[in-house]
Amino acid sequence: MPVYDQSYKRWEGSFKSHSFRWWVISKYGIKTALKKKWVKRLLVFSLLPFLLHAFWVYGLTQKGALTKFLPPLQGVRAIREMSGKVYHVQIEGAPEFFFEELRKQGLRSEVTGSELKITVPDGENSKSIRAIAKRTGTKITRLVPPGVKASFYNAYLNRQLLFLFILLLAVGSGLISKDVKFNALQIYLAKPITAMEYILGKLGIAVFFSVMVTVVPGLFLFLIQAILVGDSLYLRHYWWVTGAICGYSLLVIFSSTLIVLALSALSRNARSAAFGAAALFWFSPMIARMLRSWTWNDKYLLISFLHNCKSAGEKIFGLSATTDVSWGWSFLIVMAIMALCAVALVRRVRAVQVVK
Amino acid sequence: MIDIEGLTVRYGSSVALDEVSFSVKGPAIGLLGPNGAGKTTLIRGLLGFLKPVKGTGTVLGHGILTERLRVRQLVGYLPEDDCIIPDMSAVKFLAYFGELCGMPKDDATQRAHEILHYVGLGEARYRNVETFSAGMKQRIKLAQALIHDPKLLLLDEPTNGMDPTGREEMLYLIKNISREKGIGVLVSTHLLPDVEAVCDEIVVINKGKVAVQGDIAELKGENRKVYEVKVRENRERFCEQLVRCGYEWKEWRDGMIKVYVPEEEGATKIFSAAKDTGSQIRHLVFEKSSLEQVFMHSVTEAEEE
Repeated sequence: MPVYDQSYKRWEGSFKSHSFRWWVISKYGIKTALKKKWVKRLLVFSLLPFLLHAFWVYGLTQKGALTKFLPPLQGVRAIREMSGKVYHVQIEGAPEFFFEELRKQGLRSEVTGSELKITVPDGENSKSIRAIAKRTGTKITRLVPPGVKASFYNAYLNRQLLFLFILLLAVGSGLISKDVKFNALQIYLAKPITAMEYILGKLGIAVFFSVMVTVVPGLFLFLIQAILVGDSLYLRHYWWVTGAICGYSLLVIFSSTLIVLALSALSRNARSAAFGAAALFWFSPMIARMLRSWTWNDKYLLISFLHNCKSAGEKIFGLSATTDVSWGWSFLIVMAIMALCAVALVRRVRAVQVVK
Repeated sequence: MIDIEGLTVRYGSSVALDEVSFSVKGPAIGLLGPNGAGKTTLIRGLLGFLKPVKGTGTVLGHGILTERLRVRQLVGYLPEDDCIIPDMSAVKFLAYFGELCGMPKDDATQRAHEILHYVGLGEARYRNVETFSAGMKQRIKLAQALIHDPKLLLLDEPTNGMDPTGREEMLYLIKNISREKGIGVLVSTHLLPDVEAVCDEIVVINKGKVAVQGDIAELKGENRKVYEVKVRENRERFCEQLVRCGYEWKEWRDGMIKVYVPEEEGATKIFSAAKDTGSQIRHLVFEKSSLEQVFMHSVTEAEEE
């Protein structure tokens, strides 16, 4: 009997359940892409804006601590004196002993209209205000913690779009076109997976890298701010920002990945697919801006994929629109593009292309 | 193993398969036909790649229209075209498809090594598949078809582009799989020697229709002798006399007939029949039937019809 039988052996094991077969495609795709040095470099490079924004958040929330590293000039001293977290408070009535207690505890207060701005020193939080209110029998009707504006996160994500698009062009443009070029689709689909699972698997690869440069750093930035503010009230009051970060990111991620994948499926050449996607991402805004400047009509901005995404983003973050174009139209156009790309993908991802 | 009932597939306005019906048990079936006959379309139809206009069928008892994923779980497919995933070593390529079939990662990797040894690519298993020669690509395609231990292999032109030695080895592997490993094999080819070397049963397709189907030995008439006979005068009576002798006969070209005689008998009774009916035998040739003749005859007959 041979030491090692090299003839065909039957497999005695049992197959895994059918669900999540698409993940095998995603997993292999992600691993393969991560082996490429330039993908890793691009991912690291995309962290630079995150670091700058994180530093900005630190500066905003820890002004006092930051001034310790600066020479004791007059301006720096002023900043240190001004430092602290500003809470916006509404109380019933205006009891003098409440303000007196605030002064005693070293909390600065300023009345602006019906609102009271209370500055709490670094290291303390809303608990100090609540404790004073309790001691003085004052009823707080509203207490808003300090926070970075939603526009800050919106702007951060808008800056990350550059990295997102570059990564998508680099990683996503060849995902399906290579399989079409090398006839791999028929062996994929001869296995027990559906065309939809194949698409989902490929989408998973593109979405993974997109999430790594948008949702993950965005949420991390929010977390950093929450930690630096050091008040659980912050999380309770601004939790919706995490939803806005995810919502806006996912809208951009799914629309742009579907565009790249659809173009990849329509072409046998990864470069052509990348060029087509680049045209949509960067040339369409250029054309839109040119037409707007010639005609003074904001409606031409609807041609721009980037503008439509940003316009929908402004709405998601609750910001006022920067143009006259309704965000609803922009959102509809993005949705229509996604639907078109999905149809193209479903029609192209087939084991056999029938030429009629 | 495969049952097809009235399968009709169209590519736009042209009919690729026209009410194809057959039933085969295996273990090794040859799917023969000239180029463009519809062999590949039939295989693609069995895998559910193409939606038939009409008809249905089962593969290993599972409906080709209703249980596509189940069929694909049980079937391994070797396509005609070169199919690879670039930037992947042979072992990874196989393990990947093993996992896609639902095998646990470790099992898929171990089996990938085993299968690569089996198909003769053991030494090249860490090489990227796009660097493989045509023959090696055929082998890796066979390997990916075998990775999930299927019960039936659908092989579309498995010896395409292989040198004579490689072809022999490939045919040996297919024979080994079907005869000794209990895996059914459907070999689609237009190379008759390949089918003769591997299969017991054939289905000949011509212009999208089944031209002939059956056991190779039976179709070749291996259990009987065939004589090509041409007679003058009283031809009809001569033919009737042959039937009375228990012989089967068929019209053949140029007014000749083919007479099928049991193996242990000679041509004596044919001469007797001619003598009894007053016919003159002008031509009598013993013919050794080959698969090529069966194929040519069935294709010509179908075209005449």
